[in-house]
Amino acid sequence: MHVRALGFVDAQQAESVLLSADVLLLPSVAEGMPLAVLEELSFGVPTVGVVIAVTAAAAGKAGVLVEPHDVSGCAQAPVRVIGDRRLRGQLSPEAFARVQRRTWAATAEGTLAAYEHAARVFRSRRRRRGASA
Amino acid sequence: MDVDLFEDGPHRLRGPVAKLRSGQALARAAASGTYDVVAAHGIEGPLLREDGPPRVLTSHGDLRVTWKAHLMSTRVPIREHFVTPYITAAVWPRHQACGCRYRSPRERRGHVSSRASPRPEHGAYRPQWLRTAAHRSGSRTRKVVFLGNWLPRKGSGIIPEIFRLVRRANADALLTLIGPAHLPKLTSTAMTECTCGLSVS
Repeated sequence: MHVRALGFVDAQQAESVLLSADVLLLPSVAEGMPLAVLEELSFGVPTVGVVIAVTAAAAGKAGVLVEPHDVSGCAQAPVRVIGDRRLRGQLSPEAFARVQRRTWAATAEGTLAAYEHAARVFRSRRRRRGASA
Repeated sequence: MDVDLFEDGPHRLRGPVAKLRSGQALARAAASGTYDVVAAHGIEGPLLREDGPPRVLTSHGDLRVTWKAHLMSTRVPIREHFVTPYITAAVWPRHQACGCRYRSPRERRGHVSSRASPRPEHGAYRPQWLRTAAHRSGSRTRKVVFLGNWLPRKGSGIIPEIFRLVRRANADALLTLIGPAHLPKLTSTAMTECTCGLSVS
């Protein structure tokens, strides 16, 4: 058996699979925010993906990224991660470090800062319009 | 700061109708002139008037590209600081373990039972290094995981070929696919079509 297709799994089963994984393969060319990457990072699992902005931002140095649609590169990367214990030793701590920054508090603060900045810009724009009228 | 939240429509209207309703709600919010900032997550954001209040885009990937294209076409200066970099932070529902009283909007409206949902609603990413290290020790099978919908944009078209090459270097490698329930059938088809000789269970 080389491939297991599990379909939807419950949280416990998902954790079990993610815990024992060596590498996440995500050759996705379009993503919103790749939760799969973040979930794997929380288990110290390196990601092999393609160079799109969002995957690069999520995985950072905890991932090995290749050009989109590069099958050969996508295949070589997991082989390298699996076979190179030293490389895995570098990627896993980086994965843990990155995921620690993904907290609700940081997300809320970032969102609030964006709102406040936008509101400041809007108020100054309105003032300028009022002065010129 | 006061916040008015325009949520999705009722559960039975989820889908295109709900999205349209959301767009209409946003447009009304922008036209009313009562808001300093309008936060938009979907592609309905560009529908808002250019002279309306500033918009905060709470997304990071495809939608961000859509917004950029729209702003460039309308010659509106692109302000990166309007983009919230990481709005999404959720993994498996750990709120039951942490004891907080969070309930998702759908739970509050009674659309879902209180049992654990397979979809992430609330939680936090927590490093699992101790459990990970203990779990992996002793296992010799190399495990590659794909987590997500089996779609072409996710790489479904090339994953079988990639894994065939991986197995050439690691004969005992195992690919585990986690995703929607219809995945096994699609996967079987893909694996057969690619004639890579992989067996699927």
